[in-house]
Amino acid sequence: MSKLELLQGTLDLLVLRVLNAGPMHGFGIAQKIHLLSADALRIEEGSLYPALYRMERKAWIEAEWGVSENNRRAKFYRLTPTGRKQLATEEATWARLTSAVSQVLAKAD
Amino acid sequence: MNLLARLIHAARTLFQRRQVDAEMAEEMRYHREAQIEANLAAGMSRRDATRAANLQFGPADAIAEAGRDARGFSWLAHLRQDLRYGSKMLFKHKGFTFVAVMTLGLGLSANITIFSMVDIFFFQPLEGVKAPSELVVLTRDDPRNEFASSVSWADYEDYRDEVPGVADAVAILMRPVHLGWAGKVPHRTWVELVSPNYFSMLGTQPHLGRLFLPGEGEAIGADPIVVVSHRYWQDRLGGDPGVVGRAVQINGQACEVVGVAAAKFDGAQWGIAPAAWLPAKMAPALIHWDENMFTDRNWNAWRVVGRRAAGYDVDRIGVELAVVDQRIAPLHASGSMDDVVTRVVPEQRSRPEPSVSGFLPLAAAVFLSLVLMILLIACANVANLLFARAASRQREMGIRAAVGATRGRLTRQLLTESLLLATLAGVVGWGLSYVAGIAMAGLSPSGDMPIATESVQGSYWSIVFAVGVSLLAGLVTGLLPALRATRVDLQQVMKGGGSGGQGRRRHWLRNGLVMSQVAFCAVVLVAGGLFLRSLKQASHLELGFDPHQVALASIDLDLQGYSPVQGKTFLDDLTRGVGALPGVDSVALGNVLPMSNNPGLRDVADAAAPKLDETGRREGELQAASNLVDEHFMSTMRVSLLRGRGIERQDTAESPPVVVVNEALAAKLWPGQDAIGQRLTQRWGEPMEVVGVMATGKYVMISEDPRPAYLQPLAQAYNAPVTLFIRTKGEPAAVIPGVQRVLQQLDPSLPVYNVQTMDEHLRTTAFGYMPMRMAAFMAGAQGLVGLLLAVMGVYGVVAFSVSQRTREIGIRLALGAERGDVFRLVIRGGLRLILIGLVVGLLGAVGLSHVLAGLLVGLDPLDIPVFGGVTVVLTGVSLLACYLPARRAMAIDPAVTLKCE
Repeated sequence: MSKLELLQGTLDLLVLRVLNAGPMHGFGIAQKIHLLSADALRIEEGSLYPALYRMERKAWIEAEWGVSENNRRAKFYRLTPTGRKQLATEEATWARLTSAVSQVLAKAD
Repeated sequence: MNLLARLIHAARTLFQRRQVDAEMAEEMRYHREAQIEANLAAGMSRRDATRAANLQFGPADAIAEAGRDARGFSWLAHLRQDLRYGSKMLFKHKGFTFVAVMTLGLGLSANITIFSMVDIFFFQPLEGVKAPSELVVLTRDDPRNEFASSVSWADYEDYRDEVPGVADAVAILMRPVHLGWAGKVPHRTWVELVSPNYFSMLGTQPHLGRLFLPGEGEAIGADPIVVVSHRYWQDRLGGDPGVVGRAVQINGQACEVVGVAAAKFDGAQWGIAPAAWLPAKMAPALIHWDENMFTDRNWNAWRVVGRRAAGYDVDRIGVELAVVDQRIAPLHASGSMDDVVTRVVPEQRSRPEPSVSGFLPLAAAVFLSLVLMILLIACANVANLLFARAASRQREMGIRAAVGATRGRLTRQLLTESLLLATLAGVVGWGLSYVAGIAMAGLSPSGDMPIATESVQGSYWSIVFAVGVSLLAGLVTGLLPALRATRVDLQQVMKGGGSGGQGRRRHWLRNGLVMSQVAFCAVVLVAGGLFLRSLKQASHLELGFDPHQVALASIDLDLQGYSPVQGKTFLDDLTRGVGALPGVDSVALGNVLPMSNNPGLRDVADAAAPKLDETGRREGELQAASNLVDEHFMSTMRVSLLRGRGIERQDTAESPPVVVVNEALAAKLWPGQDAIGQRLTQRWGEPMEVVGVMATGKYVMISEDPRPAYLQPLAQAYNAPVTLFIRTKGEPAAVIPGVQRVLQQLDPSLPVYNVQTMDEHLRTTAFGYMPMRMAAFMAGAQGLVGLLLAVMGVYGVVAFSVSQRTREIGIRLALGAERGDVFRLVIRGGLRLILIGLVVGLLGAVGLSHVLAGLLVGLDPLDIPVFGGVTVVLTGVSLLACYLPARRAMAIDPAVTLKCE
């Protein structure tokens, strides 16, 4: 299966949604998106980390060093209250966008 | 993130960069290793697992850079990097840095100095006063009196009480007095006689003791109290804490010190530092003036400073003043208020004197625009230097661009460097202007009256100005070269070129900078030349007396309590004693010292002219400079007598009153007639017979137009203050100690002032050469700085063009060109730029000199020596600046250059 290109801005939404389930480190986030998308989405580190730092600066998430499942030091990211609000907004926007796009696809003939 | 978190974040970006970067690296290392493990778990071989992980990861540096950018505040980190790199570059190229910093520093110092002066003159509020911006000065424009800015006491009270726009007003009169402290010889100083509400209206606090209490100073002669200034208390009384309650003799009359004013309080007159303040109503007792000084509306010597009421502007107050003027005009002698306009001027705009306050902003504007031109010259120079350097840094830029620096990033780096340069230059400029300030303070007017001159520099605003202008200069000089330098053509740089490319356009720009430098310099030099010329012309003005080899000393016997009879004996003894001193040629006495702050102006008329009203005003009355002199005055001062006789020994109190008039007075009052035998009368007093006519000289101001003047015998109109005019055989300063000894012997307690030579007096008095010297000094210094900068600029550009054209010149020489041809080629190139700049500059200077003609007396706007001189000097010096590079071009060895390339 060929790789899907993420829409602009979708990465933030995915990261926020994944972190909503609980704190997680960068690799974990990438893995989870990969698994949940049934291998369709592969997040590259080159876009993941800048996105994480950007969201950290915007105070949607905060970071803390912790210990990973394989007993190694890793940096864990966690949703902040602001991030939770942002997630709700972005989910709503996404829902409107997809339904609008589907409608166009269904009716345009 | 809240503000604190934001700040911590920024600080971490800036100062814990290494740690942040390390954390980032660790995070990514974990990610990669976890990926490898996952790949292994999926069944890949270790080699494949690692390869796949690395492939997926991409270039770690790019991620790190993107990560840093995403963290925010990366500009801060960049700035730090740029600053470090920039200072390293500046330090590495010390020669370049030195030249650029000094160039810009010189330009900035001129600006900071002039701005500080303008700041002090126009923007600094009066110190130690409540709400100084509300203060206004009431001034009268009287066409008959060029000094009239003063008001009578009765008029003052009417303005104070009847103008709603004036919340309160004070009246001030500055007077010299003899102050005597117990156990000390009295000394002469200036005090202010002020209305009782003086301190309360100004809203100032005492440093010690108290100020005037409510009700004090209201009745004539009732309150012999005095408040001394902090400055006087420090300088004369050594800051004695027990001064309050002490008695002091003022003109021999005992008064009580009730307080010391606040430290920064110098009163309501800008630039003047009185020693003490006394209730105005003590004047009749202390100075023996008639009590009618408070009732006579023609006794107009009071300066009035008011406080603007809330909601009133100057125009509205002016309208209200006109209404009051209409009411009080009939109370004045008929006609005397006819042409008078009472105005109100904000205090800051009334400096240093309301009568000249219209002229100062023009002078300030001229000087500000001159120094701005100097700054532009300096900026052009530094921009040129930066261009030259940018050319040699193309390779460096190319390499940095190749490893991924964006154009914005490179531009920012170069701008940071030029801002660093500008900051250094600002520091240098600040230091230089401090030195200039000290030099300028030495030029400030001396004289009998105490001047409150602080150092020329130091206000908070001038620092803000210096910082602003330095940064602006850095931006101006840096921006264009930076944009130019970063427009790198990678391929060309890598090919090893770097000197070619957009050559034509770059030359055009650099040449334009040189031309504008020469043009600006021409303007600044012409201005400097015109100021110097006007000073020189002024020093050749016919003064009407010979000022050289004359020593001076003034005394005021009246303040010391001498009766006229005692005074006469004293003066006889004095002239005899001084005349007997070795080195003294002759001694004369006069009441008025020319060009001093005692102008001796009086209203006079032909005694035969009909009286206009009961005040003694006559038809054809005019204002003339008067002086009371003894029989030695005209010969001692070498005043040339044109007709008749001078003041002689036989002119005594018993003989008929006589007068010697000058030609200007004779021509005005008796045109076409012989003045001798005519009778002249003062507004009050006996008619005097004209016995002689003298040449017209200068009396009140060096720059005055021919002014009517007359001399009266001192013996016929005894008047207290006298100046000794001592003509000496040799150096006049040498006799001064002897003169002081004689005075000491005659009366050890008599204060003496104006002890100096006549030359010194004329040089330093505000009415003599001082303003012209000050202007000439500033304009001359500016011209020199401009010239220096322009020459450096011309040299830089010509030298650079020679170094750029080494190859071309080498080929020319190889093809058989004579070395003389090469020399001429270079000189001709430079000369063309200089001449174009010169023509443009001279045209601009013509415009400026027309403005200056309004400021400088006796100046031809198209002064040939100045314009010619500037042309010759500027061309000559610029040619010299071309000469050295041309010599270098001549010495180019074609074999070497061609091989090199």
